[in-house]
Amino acid sequence: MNIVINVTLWIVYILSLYFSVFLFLIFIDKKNFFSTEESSINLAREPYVSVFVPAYNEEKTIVKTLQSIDNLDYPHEKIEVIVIDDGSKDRTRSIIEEHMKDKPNYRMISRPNKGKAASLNDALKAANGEFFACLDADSFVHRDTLRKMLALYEKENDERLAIITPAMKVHDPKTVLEKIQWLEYLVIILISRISSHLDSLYVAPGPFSLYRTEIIRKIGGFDETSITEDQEIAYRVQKENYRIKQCFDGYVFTTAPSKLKPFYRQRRRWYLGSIICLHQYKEMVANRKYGDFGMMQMIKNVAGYLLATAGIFIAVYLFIIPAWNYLKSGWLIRFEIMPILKNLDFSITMMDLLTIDFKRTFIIISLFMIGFYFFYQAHKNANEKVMKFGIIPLLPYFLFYYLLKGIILLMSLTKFTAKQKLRW
Amino acid sequence: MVDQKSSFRKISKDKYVVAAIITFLIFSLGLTLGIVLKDYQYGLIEEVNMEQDVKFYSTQLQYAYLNAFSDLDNCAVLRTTLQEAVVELADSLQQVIEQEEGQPGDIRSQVVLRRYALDNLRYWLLAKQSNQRCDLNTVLVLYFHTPEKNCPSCENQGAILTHFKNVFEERFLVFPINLDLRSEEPMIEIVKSQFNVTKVPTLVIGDQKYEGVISKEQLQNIICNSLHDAPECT
Repeated sequence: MNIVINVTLWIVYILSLYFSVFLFLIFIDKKNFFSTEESSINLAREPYVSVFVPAYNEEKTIVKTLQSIDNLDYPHEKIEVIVIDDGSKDRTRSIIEEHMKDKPNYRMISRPNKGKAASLNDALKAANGEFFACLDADSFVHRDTLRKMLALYEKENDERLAIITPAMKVHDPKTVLEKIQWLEYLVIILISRISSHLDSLYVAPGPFSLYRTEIIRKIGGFDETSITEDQEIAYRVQKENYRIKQCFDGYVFTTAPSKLKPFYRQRRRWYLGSIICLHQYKEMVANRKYGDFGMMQMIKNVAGYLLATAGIFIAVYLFIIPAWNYLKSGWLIRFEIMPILKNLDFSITMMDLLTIDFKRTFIIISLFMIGFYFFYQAHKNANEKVMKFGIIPLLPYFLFYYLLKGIILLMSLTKFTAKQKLRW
Repeated sequence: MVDQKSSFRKISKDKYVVAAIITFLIFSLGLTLGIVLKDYQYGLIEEVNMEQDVKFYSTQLQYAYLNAFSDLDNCAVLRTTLQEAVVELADSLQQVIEQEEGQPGDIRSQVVLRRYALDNLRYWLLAKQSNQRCDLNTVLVLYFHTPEKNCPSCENQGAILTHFKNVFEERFLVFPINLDLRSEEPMIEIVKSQFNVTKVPTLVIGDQKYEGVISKEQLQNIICNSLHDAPECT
């Protein structure tokens, strides 16, 4: 194999191992704290809260979303709901109007389509809440979540705390793809919890992140030019040295794409958005001023692209090239496979075993072990059973899912560099 | 003011250091394990080679005996011993050899490769001699090749040869000679210039030289012309 590829692969192995071990250490170090930490729902003071619901053609889910807000365990007179009808072409508007009847705490902003970030900014101008949350119309909030988040604001008692992020779960997964994402989201909850501990969160998920209104107004609201305003705002908050915390059991349920095509579109937007954000905030990469966020998270985010690219090359090298070779050999012998079957030998000798590349295998096994450990802990962390949906989503999750994500990531990266005309 | 602003920023220095140490440990553990197992592997190869030596002596002696007493007819025994020895040589070492060819290693690896080429050559020579005295009814193929990266089509020829090994089993003996070793091993250079091998892959079957990849159909014809009583040919 080419020496350049080989060296790159080893750098990738070691980098991946290093970041995994680092997260593992943080987790082990704080394991006691994590397993005993409990969210309180008791508040000394009940501040006024605004909830923004940006809606664009959401007639199917909007009522359920609004109901989940109505059901929040919080006095109704302390919540104002601002629904932004972003120029919907379906019945969204009339459904909202129907729902708003005799609910004095509801307001609706209706205007031509301008995009989600613009909707949020319009609502931000009109909001009276000391805190505000956004809830996408495809998501539903658990009744305790708002209380838990406000209690966390109270507990942290830090004026610089700007955003509290939720723990996102996939709502009612049915297809295998949804179930795979369900597993992924659980792992993200745990990883975010560790990142939160390091003040290194870099996304404020669209569904029910709770913002401190004053700070978001001060830093200029949401970026209407960004395709992932929920990442952009988080990076900006980090850059201005405000804090982001996760409420580890403040659950929000979000609808995940059930088919490959919408999944691809969603991920492409996310990944392209995150590449743009990383590029926009590249000064924070390896910047000691930003503590662990600069030194670990930003480097890890950049390295993520390298890892994904390398991961695909590894997959090509391990599966696609051998598969192609088999096909080629098969053609050369005109697919006469009977003699092969006749001479099949399943006995594995010591000598065969020893031809495995042990250096590589050892590192990959270590990586997988840490991965499995986090996977298991992520389920424990979110109070879910590993086998909730049986073994079927587990296999593709471990075998193909990261490869699929890697490919989408790579495509986004290509698109980005094409746009930038290689001006990195 | 700036300090106060970012007072929550900290760097978990100790964790970075410990993570680096653990990563290094896992890495060196894997490396050590690799080296230990490699040593063990060379030990196993050594054993195979010792066994091969005994087998070769046995075959060689059988041939010498045959020549010494012209009334003797132990051709059948000689044929089986020879065929089994060559098949076993390939079976036990082929995978290791492919691995060593793929990633050029240290002196030991060179020695293993040379030894394998020489083993194949001496068996080929003995088989050729025996064929004159007895009718072995076996096709002997001297297969000149180089590792994959210098000879992409060698892989194709390899696949075709493997196919016929599966079809004719011990009646089709392939003796692979890695031409990349010719700078270290003079014997390879001698054979190469004798047959005037200028390109890879090259096959020598009987006294006939075939350059470039020989297709399945061509090879089938060549084999079937040399073998008699082969049900696979009809």
